[in-house]
Amino acid sequence: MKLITHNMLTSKCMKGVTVGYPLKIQAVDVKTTEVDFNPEFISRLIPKVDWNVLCSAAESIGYLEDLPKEVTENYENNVDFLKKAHRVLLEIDIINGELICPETGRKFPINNGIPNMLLNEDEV
Amino acid sequence: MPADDRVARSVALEQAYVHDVYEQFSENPRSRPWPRVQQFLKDLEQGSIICDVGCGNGKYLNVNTSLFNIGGDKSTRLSDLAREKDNEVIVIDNLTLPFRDESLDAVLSIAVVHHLATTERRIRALRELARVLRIGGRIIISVWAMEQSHRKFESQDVLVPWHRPQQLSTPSLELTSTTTTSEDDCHPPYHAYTQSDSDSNKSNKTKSGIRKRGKTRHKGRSIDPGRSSSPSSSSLSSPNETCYSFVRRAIQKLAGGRRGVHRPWFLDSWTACTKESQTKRFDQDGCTCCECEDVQNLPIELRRVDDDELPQRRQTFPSSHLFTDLYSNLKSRSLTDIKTVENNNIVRSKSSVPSIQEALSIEDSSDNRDKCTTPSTKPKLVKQKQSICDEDEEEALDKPTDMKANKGALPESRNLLTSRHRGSVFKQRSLNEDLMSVERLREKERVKQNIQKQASLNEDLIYSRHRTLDSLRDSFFSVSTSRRFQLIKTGFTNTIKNSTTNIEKVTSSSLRNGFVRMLQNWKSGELTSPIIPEGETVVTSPSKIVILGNEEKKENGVTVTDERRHSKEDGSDSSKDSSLQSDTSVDSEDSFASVIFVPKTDPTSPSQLSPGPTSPRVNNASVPNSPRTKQSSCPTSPRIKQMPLSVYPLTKQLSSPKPSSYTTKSHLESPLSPGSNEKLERDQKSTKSTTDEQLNGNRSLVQTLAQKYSVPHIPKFRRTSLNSNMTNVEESDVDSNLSEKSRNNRLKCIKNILRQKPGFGMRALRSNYPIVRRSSMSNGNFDTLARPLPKLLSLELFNPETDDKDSDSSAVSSPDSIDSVVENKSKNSHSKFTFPPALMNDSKCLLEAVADVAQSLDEAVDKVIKSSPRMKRRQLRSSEIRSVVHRSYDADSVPLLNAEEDNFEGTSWDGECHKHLTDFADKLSEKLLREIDQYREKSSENEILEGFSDPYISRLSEELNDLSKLSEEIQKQNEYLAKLSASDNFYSKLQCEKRTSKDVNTAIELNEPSNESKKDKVSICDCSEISEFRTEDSIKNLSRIDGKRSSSNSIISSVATSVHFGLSMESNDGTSEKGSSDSHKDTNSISRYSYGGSTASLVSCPEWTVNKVKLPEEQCLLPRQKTEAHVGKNKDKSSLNQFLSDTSQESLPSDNMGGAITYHRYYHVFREGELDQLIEKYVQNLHIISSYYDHSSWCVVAEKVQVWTI
Repeated sequence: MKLITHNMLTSKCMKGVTVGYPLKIQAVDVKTTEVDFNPEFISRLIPKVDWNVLCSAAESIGYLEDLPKEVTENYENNVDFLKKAHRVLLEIDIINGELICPETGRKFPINNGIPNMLLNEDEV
Repeated sequence: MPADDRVARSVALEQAYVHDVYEQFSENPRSRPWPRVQQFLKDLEQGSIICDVGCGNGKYLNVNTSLFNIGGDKSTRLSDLAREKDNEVIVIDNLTLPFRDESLDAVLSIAVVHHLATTERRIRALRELARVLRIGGRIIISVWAMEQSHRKFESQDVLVPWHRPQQLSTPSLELTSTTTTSEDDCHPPYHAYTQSDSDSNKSNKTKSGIRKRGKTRHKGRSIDPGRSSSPSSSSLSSPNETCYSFVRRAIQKLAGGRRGVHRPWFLDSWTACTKESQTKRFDQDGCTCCECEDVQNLPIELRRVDDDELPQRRQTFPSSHLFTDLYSNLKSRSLTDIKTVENNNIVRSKSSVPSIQEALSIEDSSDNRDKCTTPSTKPKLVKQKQSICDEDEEEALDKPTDMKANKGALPESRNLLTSRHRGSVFKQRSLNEDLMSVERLREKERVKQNIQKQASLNEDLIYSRHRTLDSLRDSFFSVSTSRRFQLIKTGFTNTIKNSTTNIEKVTSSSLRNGFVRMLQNWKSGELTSPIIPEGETVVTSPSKIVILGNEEKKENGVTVTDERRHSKEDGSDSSKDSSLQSDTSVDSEDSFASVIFVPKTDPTSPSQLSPGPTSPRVNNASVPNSPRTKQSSCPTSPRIKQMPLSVYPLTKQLSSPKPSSYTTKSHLESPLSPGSNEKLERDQKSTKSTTDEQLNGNRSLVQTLAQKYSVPHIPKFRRTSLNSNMTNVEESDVDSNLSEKSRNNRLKCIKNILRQKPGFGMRALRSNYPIVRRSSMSNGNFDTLARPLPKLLSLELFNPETDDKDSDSSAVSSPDSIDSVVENKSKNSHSKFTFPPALMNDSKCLLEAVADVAQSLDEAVDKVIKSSPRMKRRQLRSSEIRSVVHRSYDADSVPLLNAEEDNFEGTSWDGECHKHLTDFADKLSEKLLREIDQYREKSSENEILEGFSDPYISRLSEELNDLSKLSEEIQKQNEYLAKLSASDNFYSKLQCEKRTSKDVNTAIELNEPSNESKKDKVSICDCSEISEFRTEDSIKNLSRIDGKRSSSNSIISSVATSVHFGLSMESNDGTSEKGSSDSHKDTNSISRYSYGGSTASLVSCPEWTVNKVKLPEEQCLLPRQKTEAHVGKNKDKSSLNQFLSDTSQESLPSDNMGGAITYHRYYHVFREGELDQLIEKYVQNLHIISSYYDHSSWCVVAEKVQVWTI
């Protein structure tokens, strides 16, 4: 699971959960895979991302590195920033671990890089 | 039904027929991205975040790499596949998307929404898709269209077979299929509107830019044939083609011609299937995978998937409701759809209308044919019953009528027709609905048979595949079958909730009416030529048997009773039979294994039915099925097969044993198969004997016997005889003696049958027919019957009973029970697999044991006969019975039949099997005829003996009491055992015990099961009686019976009653297997009955406890399924290719060695404009940009807009 995906995920569909975002990450196995860098693509993704959540998520798994806490202005032209964002968004892959609902503590397992977000019927 | 039930049902349906199936999907090269979807993706601006909800194997995740593609699927298997392609994948549920609101730039929902079983859920899914879409974001939704060029659906809720392509071959197949589909899609879609009425209503729909051309009624009709044709296609290849298959083929051809499709309609269906698979992607990950569509694939229509209709039907038709609940999805859907969606027009009000129409049509047909239709409490039921009867009697006539009615827009009737040909489990399950229409029942039977075949094929393949296949089976059984069962259970529970009594009443009434009619007709025909009628009308044959029993009874005591009474008795019998049949039908659905259908898982049958239904029927069942089906429409088929087509049943039976021998793994199956063979033989024999007896009794014997018996016991006989016995008992507080007499008669018949069975080898040695009949022997007969029955039953019944007990003892809640059932199934499968080597031996042992039992029975009969004094006889019987039991367990004493069977099995296995079967069937028929002749000769003697036996009856009753006590003890022991060990374990233990049949314990256990079976039978009988009589009397009788049973003081009477019940059940069932076979039949029927009931009970947890009997039945279901599987295996062996396509999900577990496994996926096929309406009405923030038809699917491209609510 890439962090950009995590940036989209919520547990709000659970009963009793109003926001369910962001999900906490408990990473057991994280790997980085090199992905072709496409500045335009990244620059288009950045506005769709909750940057603070991304940073906290990267930090929680120890991959914050030197990612700026704030989206720099004119990032479209800041290749260095875009590369950093690229790495955090697309190259960090959580293979095994858990996503934890911030409100209920419900754990969603991540196996083989695939988070299982299925809910039991009694959780809906 | 409560909303919860609906939800649970829909969830279970989706789980069994969508998710579980997709879990079986593998990489499917076939699935190509649809051009228009590709274009949709390519039109998205770079950097968009999209989610393909229901991504399957992720074929759309790489179309546009300038997007951030998130693939979501509920199938972990498919998710893994998609993940392997370096895609970002999440396991998600369309109903609870784990995305922030408005977080996605685009959403794909390709072939997902159509997998949701209710309109409410479909709306939820659409809303959820819209929720995660940002304002201005676009979504493309595709759902399978009801109107397809190559496929036509009678209803919107269908189970579409999907064949798991062989790994090697799949790619090519997939490619071809895809290509074909794509081509088809490209072609202007045919107006497949099959449903003229609903279509017209639906035509409102709208917007779909591309409409299919005219929806001509002709096409609609053609659709039906097409459906039928699809099944036929499967049958085409099969060497074992039955008349049905021929009909199917013919229909297919006709349909093809009508359709005007250039390609064979098979291809069309395939293409449609492929299309489906594509569309499926959404809901379940695996959808996109390979969908190899076989010509054989015929969609099974589900009715009442939506809730609305279900409750109604449930009220009116409990039994039908059960089936319908699960399978009624189609019709129900239409209703529910209408209510929920407001798209009444679109949704198809048909569901309700069709049912009515069907009922009307049925009524008409029934009225025309059987004006006698007895007024049932509920007209619909009565009609159904009548129709059923009519159908049974006049299948051909009914069909045409049905067709007409169907034309009227009766999806059910269509289903029936189609189901017949297709033999899809679903249809069979829908057959439950058949109660409403006899035709449906017939179709179900056919479907079951087909399913059995399929299952057998699959199983066969599995066997051949060996353990790998076994493992597949395990997985299938455990998952799909369990799910199917659950579905079925839910449906049943719903119906049960509505009113178990109602169901019974309905079924009974309908069955009664039909049976009564049948019996009346039959009676008239019997005098002329009993044998011929059997062959002529399969259904009639069981009814005949029943009738025979009635006649016999009548003969004994009926002299007093008029034909009307007979008819009543018959009706009661028929009602029982009908109840049994209904059960069977349910089972078939299950087969549920199946059906649902089924699936299934399944068990269905659903399998249900299973689908599955056929296999169990075939095994056990060819016997039980025959009776049940016979009563309804289905019974006819088995008998027909047996009698006229004796080869067919025989082949099945033979094949079943053969596979068993080959594959020790399926001990249950193997034993079952032998048992089934025996049963079949017995049934045939019994039928013959009964016919003979009837003839004799009717003429000479009847008077003599009647005089003897009748004087004191006439009423008793009536009562005892058949189900009517119960009612009669109520009326006149039947004495056990009477019942015993009747039972004795039955026992005699059974003995005769047994003799005949062993007779192949044993007959010459022992010509005990006269003895068999001797009423005096009733004691011994009872004993023998009871004990041998348990033995025979032990194979099938045992497990169920034990299971039932276990479940009951454990007081497992309905959910648990379901699980347990599933577990049992799985366990059974496991046990089968685990004991493959032993199974071989076991199967042989079982066969031997069966043969031994039969021999012992014969011997006992002979001894009894020899010991003219009945006292001696009784003693002998008691001792003999025990000895017999032991003998039966002793594998050493293999009866000739067994040996023959073994030989056949060994030799004929593959290609020779058919020949052997045919030969065997011919031989059997000849023997039967001979035996019948002998019987007639001896019958007079027997009658005399019977007359003498009357004084001895009291002694016999004492013995019976003792036996009953023993049985009670055994039952207690069994219960303890069951409690101690899980039902599964117990089952395995039982098997082990059986294997170690020599042990006295095993004998006891066998007795126990027999006792249990007796109880079950009694309960069943009670139920049937209740249903038949509907009236309070039946209840009273039941209570009385129960009280008798419960009270040891009245043990004798209770035992006698129980025995009678068992016998009556058997006789009612029209089971030719009398004696040991009777017990098996009873158990089978019971198990089937319980199966349906159990499923229902399972569905409804609260009801669960109420229906204890049902629980055992459920347990029995497992063995049935096994048996079905065996049957299916056998059949499969005979014609693997043919049936592969037919296999329902229940059969799914069986992977085909050479071919593909057939899974059934649930689809709610959308009518033109239906999706648009859903979106417009319920998802207001989606603005439809374009709507078009592509790849047999309705596609909508919509944009999320800001909705301002004041």
